[in-house]
Amino acid sequence: MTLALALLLLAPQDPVQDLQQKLRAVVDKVKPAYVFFGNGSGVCISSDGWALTNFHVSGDRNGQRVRMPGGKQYLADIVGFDPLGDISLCKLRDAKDLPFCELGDSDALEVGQNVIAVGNPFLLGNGSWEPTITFGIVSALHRYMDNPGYFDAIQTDAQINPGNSGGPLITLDGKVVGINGRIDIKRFMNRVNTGIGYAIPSRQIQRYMEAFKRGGRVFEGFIDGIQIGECGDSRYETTGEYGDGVFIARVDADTPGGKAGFEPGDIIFEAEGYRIGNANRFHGVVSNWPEGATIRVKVRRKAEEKELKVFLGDPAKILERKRALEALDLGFAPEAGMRVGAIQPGSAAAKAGLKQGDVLTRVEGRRVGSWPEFRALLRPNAELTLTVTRDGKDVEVPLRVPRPKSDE
Amino acid sequence: MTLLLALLLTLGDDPMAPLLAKLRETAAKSVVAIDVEREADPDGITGGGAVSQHRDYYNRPKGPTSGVIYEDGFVLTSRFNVSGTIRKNGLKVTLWDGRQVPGEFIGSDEQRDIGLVRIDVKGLPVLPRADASAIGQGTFVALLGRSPDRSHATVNVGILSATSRMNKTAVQTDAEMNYGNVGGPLVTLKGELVGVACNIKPDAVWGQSGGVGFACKTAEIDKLLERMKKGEHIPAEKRPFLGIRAGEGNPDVEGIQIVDVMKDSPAEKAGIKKEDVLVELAGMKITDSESLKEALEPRKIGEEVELKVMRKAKEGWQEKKFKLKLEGKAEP
Amino acid sequence: MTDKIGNSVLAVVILLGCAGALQAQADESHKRVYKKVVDSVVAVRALAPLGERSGSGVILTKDGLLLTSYAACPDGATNIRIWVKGPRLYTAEIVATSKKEELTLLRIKPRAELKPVDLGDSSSVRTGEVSYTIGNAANSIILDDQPSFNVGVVSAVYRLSDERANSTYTGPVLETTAAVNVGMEGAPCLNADGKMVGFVTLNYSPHRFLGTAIPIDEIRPVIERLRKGIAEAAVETGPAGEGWIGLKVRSDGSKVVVDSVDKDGPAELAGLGKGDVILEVANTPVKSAKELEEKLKGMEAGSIVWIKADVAGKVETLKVTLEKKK
Repeated sequence: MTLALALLLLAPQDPVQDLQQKLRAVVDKVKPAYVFFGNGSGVCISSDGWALTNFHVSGDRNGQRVRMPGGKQYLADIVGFDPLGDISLCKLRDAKDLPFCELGDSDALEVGQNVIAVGNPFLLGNGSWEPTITFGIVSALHRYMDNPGYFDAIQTDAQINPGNSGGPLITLDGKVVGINGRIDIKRFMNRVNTGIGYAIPSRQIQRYMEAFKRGGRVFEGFIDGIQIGECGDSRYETTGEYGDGVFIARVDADTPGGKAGFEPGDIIFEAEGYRIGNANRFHGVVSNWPEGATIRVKVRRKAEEKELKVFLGDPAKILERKRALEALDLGFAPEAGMRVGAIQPGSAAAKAGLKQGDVLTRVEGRRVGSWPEFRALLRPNAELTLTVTRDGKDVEVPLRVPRPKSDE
Repeated sequence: MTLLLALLLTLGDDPMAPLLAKLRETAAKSVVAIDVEREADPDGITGGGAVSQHRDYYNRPKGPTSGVIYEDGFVLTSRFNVSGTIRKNGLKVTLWDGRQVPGEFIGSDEQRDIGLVRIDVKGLPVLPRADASAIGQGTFVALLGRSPDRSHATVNVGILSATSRMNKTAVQTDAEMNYGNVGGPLVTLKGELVGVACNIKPDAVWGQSGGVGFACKTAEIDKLLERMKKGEHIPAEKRPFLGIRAGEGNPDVEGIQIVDVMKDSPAEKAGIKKEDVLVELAGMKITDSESLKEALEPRKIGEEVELKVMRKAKEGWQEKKFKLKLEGKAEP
Repeated sequence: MTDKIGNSVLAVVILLGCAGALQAQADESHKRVYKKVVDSVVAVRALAPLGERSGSGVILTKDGLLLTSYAACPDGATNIRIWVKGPRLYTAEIVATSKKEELTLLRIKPRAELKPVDLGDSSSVRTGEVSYTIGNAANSIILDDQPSFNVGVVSAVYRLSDERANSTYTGPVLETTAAVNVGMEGAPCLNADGKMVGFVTLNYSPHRFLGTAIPIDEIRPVIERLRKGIAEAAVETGPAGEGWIGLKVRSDGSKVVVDSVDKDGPAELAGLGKGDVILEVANTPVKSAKELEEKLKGMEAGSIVWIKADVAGKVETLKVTLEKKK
């Protein structure tokens, strides 16, 4: 009797209905945060208008017209971007109280977990401004590709097609765990999904976020000064077999790798809690951080395990970029709309022939849409050709970037 | 006791199975297979290289397609399934119980890609209609068809991806849609009819089984049913088109990145090439597909317009001007 | 009295647990199936006569018998490498092949006990039931130690009659909406219990363009037969494991002519007879009786050998299954 009662009370509610309700609820929640971005997609991640998309969708142009479901238009400026990792962080202008989706934790994903993709495949949503929803599972994690670099991609069988790029991959609790950007297709066919889509994981994006917000191009981290080989590689006299990790063939002393304490013969098998089994995974883990970060790496040395801290990136290049930013005493006031303000007599700007009122459009032929972007392209003591619009015409101006004060 | 526990535990493994089994047994009785013998079939793509190697992807493959008993004595299917010049007595409909009966293609709507076939059999089950207002994005749906040997129902499951496509006449689903099941019914898990699968054709960019499929809404079909019964073949409205396929943007140049130029299209005839970036049409600046749509809107079929593209050369991006004569095409 | 209460309490507690598990999301079953099979799926790469091939495979026994696709590892393939979850890399040897069923049996010497896949029963498969595929799609196992896992339903069951996409299999298939891509030939198609009910083939119907798998019931008897032959060979004939072909030949110039065939022996069963000329063995031309002997030496009972011969004026390729000598 008690058994029967217990069964009655605890018998599962229809699990299909449960899932159906959950699915409808998450769709209603995330749909308003979707952004129709050019010929691809994007997603709004804060109420004041920060949004993510793929770099290959946005490029680095400012003032692009974007729309949200229902048709409301905004102009979007690209703030920070990573062309290799294929992510752009943009800000929607005059945005207040926008519907948004929080970033979730891609490290908590499990293969088999339900996910949905929101996007605009084949631009079918244009006009009605209703994005497309597809439903599937996480097929694999930590997939590595280069060119462009999807270093630690989430693989999904939720169908993604051209037009989905830049859009969110979302778990059933409504959080963005990835930005969809690539598909694999059956050889020789139309660019149509066959069950393999790739997304850049949220953890990687979160690690780059601070640098994105500072503006300009962000560069991937790497361990400078070590030469690695894959365990089991017959070309080297290696220790270990394939799957043990990567081994260090050589260390250069005066480099971040050398200073971290790596030694030739060390086998790198883990970094920041991620297991490293081969060279692809090594590059995938390290590229999860931008240059300038410090990460903890575990190595096997003889019979012992050691944890080392290593600074990522080439310090000289980082410094160069930093100095160029700081020492930017070019002698003019940067104004909104890329307009050049008052020019100091005798300054680099004056010597280059810049005039107040010029609107800067290009550096060395590259379009620039924001002052941080401009700064990111400067190199101390370099001579750069700037293109400005003056009286409705394009004028080229040779700018010699001054050396930082500490060098003089 | 342990048996009960075992039963309870296994229920979790495939919760949809009982619902789909029911669809397979009952709703499937309204699904038919359609075989068509043709004198001529204009639907197909000609092309060299990779296309000719994989002609079976780009052209109508051999085998039966699907349809649904929409009303007593009437089968609804996609217009593509029954287009072309059908031989006398060349249209055969295979019912769920294996009976094969002749069918008569009597009416169609080109814009919505639906076709009506009359059969001389009464008393077959008709699916109840779904409540369109209760079907939102994320609703589970099943696409039913008939197997290549016509012996049983095929079942593909997905969700409703969008409620308003093809000018509000169709819904979109990620249940895999292909030449075999197009024309079949898109139903809820309860077996209620949402729409009839359509728009899988050789020139559809979304291909087959790619996660993008459409079903013409029942309300739309109902609007035209009487006209089709009376024998009307309603042609699609032609709109001016260029014949290009857009990519996802170019980081260097603002405009529409052209990833493909259709064979024999106005764009090809004008000299536009793959990888060009379209930046201006008829004096209007083109930044994205919306601006292209706006620029084409007031144009007429047969009109000559001037196009500007940026083309990549060794020296960098160069502007090129072309004159293009707009031709007409039924959308999509 | 207390016993009864105790039992009831226990019952309620257990039921609470079950209900809890069932209230959990529907993807718990997906995750469970993945965990069950992830260690039983492998990637295969081999150098075939026409170039390098890659594919998927499954572990059949814990001591290293593997099943893969004939398309990934055909007769004559060398430098066969296997990636097992770890990642760990092994070299493998062909034990037996069956081109008709598009399968190849391989053996590796694992360092630790492997986890074999559970074979299911394809006769009970119903259209609409949940269906999983897992394998080396886009080389996900070889590159990243990540079997690609996909979910869908069994959408149809039918026959394929034409060979496509490097596939040699024609016959009944289970069609699945779970993703099947290049690299997944030889991968398992699983049911809700994580049991293998199909063996993925890259052949497809252009009509439907969905993944297809050879029902496990079609290939199970072949696997059993091949395994039995190997097991017996291992016991009876020792490490050299000579399979018997039941054939006597003589050299006639550079021609290898059949002198006699043993009654009911493998050669006779395959269709060879006196006077026929043996042209090729396993895609390699043979010009002398000694060459033929060399080719067959070391082949175990149960091995399948493809022999191209001039049989009564017509050139045919015959499948000869070596047996243990009676």
